[in-house]
Amino acid sequence: MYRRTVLAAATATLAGCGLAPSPPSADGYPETPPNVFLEFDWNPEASAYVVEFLRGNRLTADNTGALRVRVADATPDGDAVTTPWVGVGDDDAGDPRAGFPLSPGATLRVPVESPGSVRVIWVAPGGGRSRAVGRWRRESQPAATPEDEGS
Amino acid sequence: MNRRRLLAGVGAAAATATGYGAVRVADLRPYDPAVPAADRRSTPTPRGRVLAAVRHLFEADHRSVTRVTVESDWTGSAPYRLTRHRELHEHSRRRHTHVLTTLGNGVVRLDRERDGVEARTLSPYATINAHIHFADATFADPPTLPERFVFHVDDGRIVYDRDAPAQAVGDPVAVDGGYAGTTPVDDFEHPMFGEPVRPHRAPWTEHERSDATVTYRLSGADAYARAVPLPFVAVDAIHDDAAVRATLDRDTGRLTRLVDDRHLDVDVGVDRRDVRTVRMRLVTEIDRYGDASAPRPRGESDDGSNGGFLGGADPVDRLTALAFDLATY
Repeated sequence: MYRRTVLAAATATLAGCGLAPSPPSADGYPETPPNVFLEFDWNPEASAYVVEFLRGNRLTADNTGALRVRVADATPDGDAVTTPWVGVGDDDAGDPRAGFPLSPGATLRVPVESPGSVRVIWVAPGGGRSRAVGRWRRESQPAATPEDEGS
Repeated sequence: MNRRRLLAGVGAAAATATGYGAVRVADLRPYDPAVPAADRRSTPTPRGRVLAAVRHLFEADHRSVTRVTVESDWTGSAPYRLTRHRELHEHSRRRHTHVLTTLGNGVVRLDRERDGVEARTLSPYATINAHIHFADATFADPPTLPERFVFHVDDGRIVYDRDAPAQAVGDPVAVDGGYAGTTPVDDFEHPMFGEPVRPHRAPWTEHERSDATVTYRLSGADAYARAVPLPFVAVDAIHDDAAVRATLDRDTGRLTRLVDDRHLDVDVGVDRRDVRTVRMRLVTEIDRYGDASAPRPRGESDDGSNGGFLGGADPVDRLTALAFDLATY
């Protein structure tokens, strides 16, 4: 008797909704950050580190927000120096030294006054989390903090 | 408008909205993920088949059990069983359960203060939640091993137990209070705790073939560094004999077994650089495609709830999760 009314009300209620809920999706793959393996070399004549992207996955804007190199105790006052390698720049350190994509074989020269311990930080797209992907310290240097993931 | 007609319309709208919402929040969703074999024409290479099979793990309900053995290290304890990771993934209902067990660790038997060795350096895990369990277990006293960590994600909450009771691979997953609890969450981003193989461009080769399965192999430091998510440890080098073997069902293209022969140099020192060599084997068996379930773990978590529609999380958080469900699915 009220078929038209009922159908019209049901149609209006579902307007804008998909007819069926979405099925499971593989959009979350991969969950892990890209692998980045680095090699570090200290050049005392130039007072600079040379960091080489030795092995791993190509870094693109899809899988990386930024890659930064942080040298602790890099000045006579004991301050740290951060150098943005690729991705989003840093307010204090300026624009990144390279653009995407960053592939194995790439190198970065990091001039500092003092050869402190080095950490390389990968930042997720959007900046939601970060992770130390490489570190280097001289035999006599104290430990850097453990590899971790921030949020 | 006729009053009866108006009431009928309102009633129909309310019933439709309620039914539709119930279908969505109950995660009653179509579940028919294409098997990787359907992609064979578009992914004819071994690498393409392996990646399609790994990607399928993010869509298809399944069970996965990974057993890790340390084959050699510098502690004098090898070989020994390091960890076991049981995973139940019910993507069709957005429910995921992990049971991580740390069975032994050569480093915890050392005098860590004397030797200056970082106990977590043998962690096989690539994601933070799993790594936290490993840190818990390896900072414990050696007699307390094995230690178990249960982590269950469903809509609106995470149920966990950092000191779960003993349980076999075939047992229902259990928690028992104490260090158990729940945390509200409306959308947990990494329910898989990482994948065994990342998207990459390194070549795989056919290693072995039987009537039912085909096994592909990837090897070498460069290829391994591209394909395998590596753990939260300071990896100094990857040896050239590091390799991965992936066994696929020939009919379905699904991944059934993965063997990761890991051979790394890691910096284990706490207050100095101290590079040591570690060799471990990670064997993952995957089964119960399409019918694995991941119900809430048995036993009490610290909220005293035994389940139920609103059990385990604050109602506001639960409703937030339901709203997320409605908006997303």
